[in-house]
Amino acid sequence: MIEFKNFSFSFPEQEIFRGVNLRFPLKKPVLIQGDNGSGKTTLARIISGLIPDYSGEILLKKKKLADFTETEFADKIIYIKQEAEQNFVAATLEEDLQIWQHGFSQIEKVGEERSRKKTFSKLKLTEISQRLIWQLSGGQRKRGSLAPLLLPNNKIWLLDEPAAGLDALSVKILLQLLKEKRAIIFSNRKSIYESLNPLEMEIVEKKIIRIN
Amino acid sequence: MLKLVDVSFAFGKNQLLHHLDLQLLPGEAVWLQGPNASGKTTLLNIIATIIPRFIHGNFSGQVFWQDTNLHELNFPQIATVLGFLRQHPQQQLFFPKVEQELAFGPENLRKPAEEILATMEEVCNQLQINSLLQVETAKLSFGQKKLVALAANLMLKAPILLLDEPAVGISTNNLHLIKQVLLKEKERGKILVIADHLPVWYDLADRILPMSELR
Amino acid sequence: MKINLRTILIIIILLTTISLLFQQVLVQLYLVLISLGLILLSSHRKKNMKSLQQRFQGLIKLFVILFLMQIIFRNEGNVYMEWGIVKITDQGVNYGLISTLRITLIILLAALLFQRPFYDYLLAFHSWHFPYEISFLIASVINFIPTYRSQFLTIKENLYLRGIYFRKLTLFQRFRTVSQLIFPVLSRALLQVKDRAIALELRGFRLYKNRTFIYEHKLAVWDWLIQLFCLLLLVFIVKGQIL
Repeated sequence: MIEFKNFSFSFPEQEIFRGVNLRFPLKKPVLIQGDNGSGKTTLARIISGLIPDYSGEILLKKKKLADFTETEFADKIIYIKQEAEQNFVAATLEEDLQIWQHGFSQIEKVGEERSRKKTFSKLKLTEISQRLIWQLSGGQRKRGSLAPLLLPNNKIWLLDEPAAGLDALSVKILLQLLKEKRAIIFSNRKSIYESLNPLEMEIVEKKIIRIN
Repeated sequence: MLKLVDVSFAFGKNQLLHHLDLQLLPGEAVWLQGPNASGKTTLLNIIATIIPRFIHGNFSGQVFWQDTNLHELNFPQIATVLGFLRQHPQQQLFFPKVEQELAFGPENLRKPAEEILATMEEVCNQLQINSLLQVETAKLSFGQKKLVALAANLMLKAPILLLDEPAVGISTNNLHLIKQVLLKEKERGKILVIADHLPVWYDLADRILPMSELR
Repeated sequence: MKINLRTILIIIILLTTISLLFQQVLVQLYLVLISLGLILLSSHRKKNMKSLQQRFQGLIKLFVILFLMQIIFRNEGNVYMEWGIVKITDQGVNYGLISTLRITLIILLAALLFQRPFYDYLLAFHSWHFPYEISFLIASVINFIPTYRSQFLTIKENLYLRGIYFRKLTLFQRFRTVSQLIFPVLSRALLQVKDRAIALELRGFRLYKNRTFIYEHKLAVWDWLIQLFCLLLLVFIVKGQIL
């Protein structure tokens, strides 16, 4: 369950959200739509803890985001940004996934290597997991950016246009992953996610409204 | 006429194009279809001569616009032949404000200020981005950046327009606008080369080129 | 009040010249106060003051060390105090004050320069008839800092999203983290420079030696007056000092 209480947010010269009161369950995928520039990415950044200076309250499972400790965001939420290359810190997908698993320490826990291998094979990345990320094609990079979702986790997924730039086969894989997951998808391509039968929201005129 | 003659390209062991010949007439729109990493962007890079000028691999072949061999031009002269909306709009925006961004191309082509402003008004009306003109480019959303980058390329008024994934990250409303704009450009005689795997260009494209047939 | 960038540039030339030519504490203090005044007059006063405050907080140790070094190593002049080999002299204190004030001045002037969008530099250099390519190059340097800042912030964000907090790492862990990050960061930065160059030329950059501008920054009356005053003062000072 996520809940917004009198939630507002503005950039210095632009108001994005005004007095949003809304709550919805997080049991199956939620789709948040909105026109270009309506605030989808901003909302994702706020929920993931990257933008803390909003007004009003946001509660996740009845706990205020404002009361989260620093590590709590990373424990409970995984946020994948829209532009694939903005998600990586390392040079290859293999190294990047290792950093997701055990930070910069060199010590591997049991099973971590296997779960990486499984992830790459599921996303058809095995062949390219050792290549330099900036030499991959746009679509490959996008698929690579989704890899951390498949590591064993019980987090809420925040996905900003996760299908943008993916070909039909990759979209199919993505939809399979998303089935029945606690995910908030920010996208203006409703048709792609129809088979998930998601809870639908839309950002309209600084409000978030529920469609179904 | 845009003409590719016997173009081959391999990157490492990966043969992406194999003896490709392609001719496009003014007013023609071609849609390059194919899954991720099938070489769509590569073909656009070849038409824009980014391959072989900046990306090295095993390249052979020639690209002509009318009677001009594009490889014999200075790279900046390419801007008079074609506009190229690349995949990442971020890479194509340099200036603090949208208005400065849009003016940059024609300013380099030494168009007079009045003409530039008139073109800008037209392009902005078509794409409905007038309200963004004084906004800082860094503050735009991904979709808005893409619209602005497209507008900046339209400002060049070149006879060819290359578009790499123009629909990605664009809302349904804006996609509709983009299609209208492209249709108009096509009617005016512009050649359009669209690389996209989203099935949204059927009503615009005269020809569909599956990348699998070009290897 | 919006002061034209050209006026600011001329004022800065004047201030740095004076700072170099006159070795008096009082003169240096005036220069610092003048540049502080200029920053207060500029349009983004609040934001600037905040970032300046942070910068000075970070540098305060350096200031103290520099000040002490000057005092300890300058032995000329009248002795105020003496313990063994350590002598505090009036000249030492003098130099310590001057060099601290000078660094302050440099930081203030840099803040004044970097608050302007790099497009303003293009226009300023254009109206001074600098070659376009060189203007663009200088202006790009101004742009360089925000670009790399945003890259750095993205990395910081991504580490945060993975539950890694740089501040909480031990020195050794920090070292290892940085050494693992440096290759991808530098590679990306280099690639970005290349992509940027390609993208610029795809829009006709450097097609001709010159280009048109859709607008120019007109000088207001006070801009003319300040510029004239500064230039006259500059000529007068340089003439007085050198000839």
